[in-house]
Amino acid sequence: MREASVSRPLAAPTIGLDRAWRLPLALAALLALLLAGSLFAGPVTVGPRELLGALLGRNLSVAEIIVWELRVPRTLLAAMIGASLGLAGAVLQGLLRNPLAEPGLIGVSASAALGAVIAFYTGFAAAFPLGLPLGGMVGAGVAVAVLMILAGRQSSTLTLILAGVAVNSFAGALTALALNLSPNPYAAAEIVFWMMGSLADRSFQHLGVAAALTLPGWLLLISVGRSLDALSLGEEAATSLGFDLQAVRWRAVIGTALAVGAAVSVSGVIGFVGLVVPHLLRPLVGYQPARLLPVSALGGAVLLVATDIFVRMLAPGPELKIGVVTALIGAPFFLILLLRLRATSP
Amino acid sequence: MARETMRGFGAGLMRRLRGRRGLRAGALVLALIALMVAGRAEARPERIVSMNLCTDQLALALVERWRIGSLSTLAADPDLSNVADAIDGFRLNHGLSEEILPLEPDLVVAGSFTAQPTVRLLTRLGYPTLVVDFARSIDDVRANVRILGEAVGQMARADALIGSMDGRLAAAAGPTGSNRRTALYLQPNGYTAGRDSLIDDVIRHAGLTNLGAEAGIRGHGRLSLETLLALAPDILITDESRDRAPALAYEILEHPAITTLLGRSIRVKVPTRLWICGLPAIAEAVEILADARRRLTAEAGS
Repeated sequence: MREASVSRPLAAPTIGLDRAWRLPLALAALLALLLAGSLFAGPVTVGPRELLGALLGRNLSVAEIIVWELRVPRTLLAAMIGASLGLAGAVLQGLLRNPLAEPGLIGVSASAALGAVIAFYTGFAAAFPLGLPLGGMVGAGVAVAVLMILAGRQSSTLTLILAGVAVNSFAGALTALALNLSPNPYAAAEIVFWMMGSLADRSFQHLGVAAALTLPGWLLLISVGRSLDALSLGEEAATSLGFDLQAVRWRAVIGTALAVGAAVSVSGVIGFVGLVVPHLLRPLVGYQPARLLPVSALGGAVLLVATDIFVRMLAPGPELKIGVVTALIGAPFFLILLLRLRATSP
Repeated sequence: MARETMRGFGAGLMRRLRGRRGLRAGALVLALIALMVAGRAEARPERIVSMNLCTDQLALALVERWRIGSLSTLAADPDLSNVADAIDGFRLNHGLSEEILPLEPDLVVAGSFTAQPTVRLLTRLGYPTLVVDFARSIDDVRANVRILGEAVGQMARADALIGSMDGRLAAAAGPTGSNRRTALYLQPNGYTAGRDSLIDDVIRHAGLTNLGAEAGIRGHGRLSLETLLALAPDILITDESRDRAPALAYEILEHPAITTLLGRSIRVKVPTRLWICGLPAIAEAVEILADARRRLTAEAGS
């Protein structure tokens, strides 16, 4: 625990404990409200009393099946995946010291989708319960590793984004190829799910297999917080403070691969969450990566659960893919960010 | 074979002349063609080409095998076709003009959604073409059997087929009262069948109420999983097929919510080949559902 003792002086001394807790508590309260609200959203109306009865009951009523088998797993998945994306975005931005690093933009999610597609359509996922998230994890891991090699540590924002564009389009093309090679006539149309993401009709099975990889991923990602604080002073400074940067990088890469790979393998690619959330929250935590990580996880969960409620509240008929909505929020945000970056670095 | 091809080519060239304005020869050729077509229509067709899975099976049921020149490739798919094991020796076509023309058919039978460019071309070239409409009810099945029976000069056989189907339907018929058992058909991706569909008619002939129709679906449409669960059918009908390559489309069929729902209702699997087309084989689908209804009634009684 050498890191912990060394990094203590880095913790902001000016912010009082209760003030530091204000933001996470507010986000947690908002998340709790949204989680409860999410149980009401759906094409079948389930009133508050019915909902309570369904949550407590064991009589196989239709409301109970709808709430327990559809809405509860879907809500928990939205929260878990949102948290993974927010957290991974914050870690990647800190690690690469690059404001535009985000699993979706730099191709990590697309590669995770490729891994999951290969695992699913070859039947590997059906033969082995964890096959699906493992496929996603391998895809995401390869992408992060390739990006580290392509863009390096000292890379400019531009280099990283260009490398991301390359990884993104390559993974997208291979995903389309894999789906077209499937002998199943439905497969080709399912590229929409993998590219735009959806939480419709997911079950506890999906939640279970994804959680098995997500939770260790979170632990790894959260564990790099203090190192990211040090890294914000520059690599040499961080090394001189006693941080083993190689180990930090490995933890971030494996953590991202686990969390993002598992998320994408059950929901498809949901973009921009990891970009929008850390950027909105960064000023509120005094620009400290270590404090940003947990609130980004909470913020990501809040954003995705809210978006998922919105998707379900739209008119009936085929559900709008959730990734479409996050892109509608995220893409303009991305453009504003680009303009602002250009203004500060001529 | 080679001679046949040449003849087809020559005829095609002559027919093309027809399209040029101002050519006197055109009128002459047209008259000749009309004669040929009229001559063909009078005789019983003996080089019948079917371009559609459904007409393949109708043709095989109505006509001697030697009169059939070609069937569509789907006829060989045991998931979709009732005759997959009876098509050895037939030339199979993909609905392409270049496959059909050299066969010099004297009757081309197609479905209303079959390779329409080919059908238009064949009609334009003067080949006798019969387009059999998609069956949306068991009445349509009867009509289609008669239409094809008449075109191939086998009315007696057509009537016999309809008669035996009607006998089986009558035996399977259930109560007509208002408190019928309910059924819902569930396809991959959550599609179901509602009013004005063959499957709806099959469900009603089996003495069941089709909840897809009650839910306001016309033809085929999609239901959300929640709506489907709220409808809570007594019988959940799915297609029975061999194992296929995996696809997300099937996940809804095995969703835990469906499995839990089946604690309250029963699942019946109907082979796709029985009702993907409107054929006399539809009686077997009705029988499968009627059996399920009797099973439910017996369980409720005991």
